[in-house]
Amino acid sequence: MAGEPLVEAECVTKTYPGGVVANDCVSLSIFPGEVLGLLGENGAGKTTFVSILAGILQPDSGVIRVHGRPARFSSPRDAVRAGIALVPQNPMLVEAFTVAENLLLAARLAGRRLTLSGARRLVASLSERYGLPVDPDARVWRLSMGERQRAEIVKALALGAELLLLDEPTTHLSPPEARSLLRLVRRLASEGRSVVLITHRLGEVLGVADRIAVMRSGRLVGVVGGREATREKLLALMFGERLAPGGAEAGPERRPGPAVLEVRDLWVRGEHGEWSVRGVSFELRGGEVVGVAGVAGNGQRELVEALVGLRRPQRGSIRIAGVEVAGSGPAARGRLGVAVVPEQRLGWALVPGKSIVFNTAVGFYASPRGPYRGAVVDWGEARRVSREIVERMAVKTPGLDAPVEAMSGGNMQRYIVGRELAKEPRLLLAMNPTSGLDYNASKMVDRMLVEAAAGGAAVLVVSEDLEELLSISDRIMVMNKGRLVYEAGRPFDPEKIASAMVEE
Amino acid sequence: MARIASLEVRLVERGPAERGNPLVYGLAGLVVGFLASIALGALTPAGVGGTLGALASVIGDPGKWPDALPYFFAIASSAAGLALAYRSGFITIGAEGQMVAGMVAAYWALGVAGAPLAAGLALAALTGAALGALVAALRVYLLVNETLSSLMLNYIVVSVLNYLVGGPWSAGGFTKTALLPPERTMTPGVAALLVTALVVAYEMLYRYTRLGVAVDSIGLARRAAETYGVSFARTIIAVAVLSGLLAGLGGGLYLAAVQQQLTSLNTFQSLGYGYMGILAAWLAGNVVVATLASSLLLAVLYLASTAFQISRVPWSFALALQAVIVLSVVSFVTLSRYRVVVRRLAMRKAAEG
Repeated sequence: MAGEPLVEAECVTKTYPGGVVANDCVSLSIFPGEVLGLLGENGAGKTTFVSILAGILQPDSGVIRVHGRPARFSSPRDAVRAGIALVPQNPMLVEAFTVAENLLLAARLAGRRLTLSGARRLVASLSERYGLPVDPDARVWRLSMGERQRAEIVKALALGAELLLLDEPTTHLSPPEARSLLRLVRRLASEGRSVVLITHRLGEVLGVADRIAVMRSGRLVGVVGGREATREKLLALMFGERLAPGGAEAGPERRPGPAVLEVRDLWVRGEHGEWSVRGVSFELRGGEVVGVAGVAGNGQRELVEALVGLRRPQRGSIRIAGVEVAGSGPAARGRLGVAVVPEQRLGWALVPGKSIVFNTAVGFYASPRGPYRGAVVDWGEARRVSREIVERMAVKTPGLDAPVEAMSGGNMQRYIVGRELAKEPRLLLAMNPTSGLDYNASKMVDRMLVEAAAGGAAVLVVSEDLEELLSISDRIMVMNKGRLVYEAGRPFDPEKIASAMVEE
Repeated sequence: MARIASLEVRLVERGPAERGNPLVYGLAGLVVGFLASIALGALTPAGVGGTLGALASVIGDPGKWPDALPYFFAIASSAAGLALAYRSGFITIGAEGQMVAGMVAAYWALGVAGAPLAAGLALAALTGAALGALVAALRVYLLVNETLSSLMLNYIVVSVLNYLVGGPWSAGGFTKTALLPPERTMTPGVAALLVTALVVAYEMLYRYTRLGVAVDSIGLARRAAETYGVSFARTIIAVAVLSGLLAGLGGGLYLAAVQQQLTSLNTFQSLGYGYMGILAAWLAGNVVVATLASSLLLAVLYLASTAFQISRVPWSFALALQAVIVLSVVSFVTLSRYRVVVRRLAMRKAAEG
């Protein structure tokens, strides 16, 4: 890269309470008009580093320079004013506001003059220009994770950032949308903006990045040119050792048993009365893994909420182990042996501000295997179960009593999956269970889902990662606009599946 | 963050290893608060000496300490239940009305129907619980804001009290009823012990039963709690009933141990202890058992204020001094969790170039 760097980080160090060194003297330059890939496994320090660049966190030591001048960001507002915008892995929008109102808020905080109508027009024009469909008047709490992510990207573009930090931006996008986003990233670079693309998907950086920086255990372990980078080189830098054997394809033979979940003509309304699930019928047997593929926002979330018991269907039937549960809540389903891995970690799978031990007690609240003797909580048992989960899933945590948000996103997910599997469920409902996990961790989770099925559980995986579904599922269904539009067993035809996902 | 002249002042959260003991900090705040309030006494006709003398005559005289007991158990009976409710996100201010309702129910049982003391106290508790359940049901099933409904219920209860005191139960005049017979009264000490025991029992319920798990998870992450089988409705109704039960009982105890008759009350000020309980719960960080300490603190301050009344310190100033002490305690407790970082803006701008 020719010319002066746009942004330089010099020996940036950040240590979290509890002694975890998230960034250990990281020095990295980002040049104008380049796409820099930032790779690393969960807990490598990538999100911490970009959070420092974005002003969300302050480093303990080190210097950040913008256009050669030292900069100190005491808040994201300072970073945005300096031309740096973050698109976070978990969207950080005000849920009660519309998309346009969120942009207005960000613009005002950044000291930019903008009216609400101007914000609406800007959102509409940018979303059309860059192929990121998002309704400026939609309230954020109505949007699915994928739609929120698109809104975040549009917001960052609207703030006119010179440097965009995209943290796992394809997490909630379908394959065609992900390809479109990567094309967008190249286009932004050609327009002179710089993009840092944090991802654990090697295929994404290999096709797109000018340079690829790899982090491991808080350190920057290598920077490779886009042309010289190979999958093997990058994996070697990321892990420093042989990779775990891949694939759940070689899993144990599974013979489906009797039906565990029977859904008949299910109709579910969404947040504002629209039909989100339209006449869905399917069966799930013990011992099988069924994947539900689809672009975010096609009713998958509402389907899972209806199956969990958080949303009452208006019509239709849901039977679990022969028991009709459509009119009952999550507690009844928990007692029947249903386990849930929700889409969102903090706030849906986990209670923030509380420890792993507490979250184990919550997770097992309705389960017959919970650490309870009647109304009394056996905290010793809860602790023992928590320790087992942490060991079995190799969860990195400051301790069983530390708040769960002290763990990285990937470690939270390991714990969540481990907790749900520890219930030895009859039915496991998982939404994006490997979201934010690195290669090794994803493979481990996939293996555990398949093993759960081999042990007799019925496993339903709703995922926006088609590769994952192709790898572990016995059958794949596709949801499109609330209906099941495609269903097939092995051998899968990925093109047909992908096309069923995006066809009108 | 605040900008004051050329200074930038920020509160930065301390890491777990750096945090101070909030109790130690709170005590330091108490001492500083007392010293500050004594110094501020210079502004009153009593002067510093008079203010110090008034305080010393109460706090320095062990013979007067039992006078704090009524305030203590009345405030604690409200605060403990509120702390539990607030943890679940159920922001009720109905303890005041529940106490008054408890007093009314207890007076009916003890003074009108001639029931034994225990039955009167039980009825007081159940009345408070019923009112709590009403507020919770309105919230859970009709989405009525509990802060508003509980406040309105407080006014209704006080109006009912005033009607009864001025009408059917009047002892002549409009302001009070007849006294309870002596065999249906009790000492403040026993009342305080009973409330203390119940507060400890509530703490045990919170710590060792499903209720505690439900309360905290609903309060912090309702969606997560519900996904895994915690019932929002049952949890809210449970905390509201528990809170009302203790507050109602507190009212019955206050009647039997202190007032021994009903008197008319101003609708808005009411008895006051239910509202003080809100402050005590907050000072205790919504930790149930810690409300015993915060209630004791407020009781001592209340007692000190009464001492000011017989000195030359004006009543309004006495209230201001209470506020200074409370503010000092809160500030010091905050400092145990946060560091104050002050930077000069001119230097910061230079560093940025």
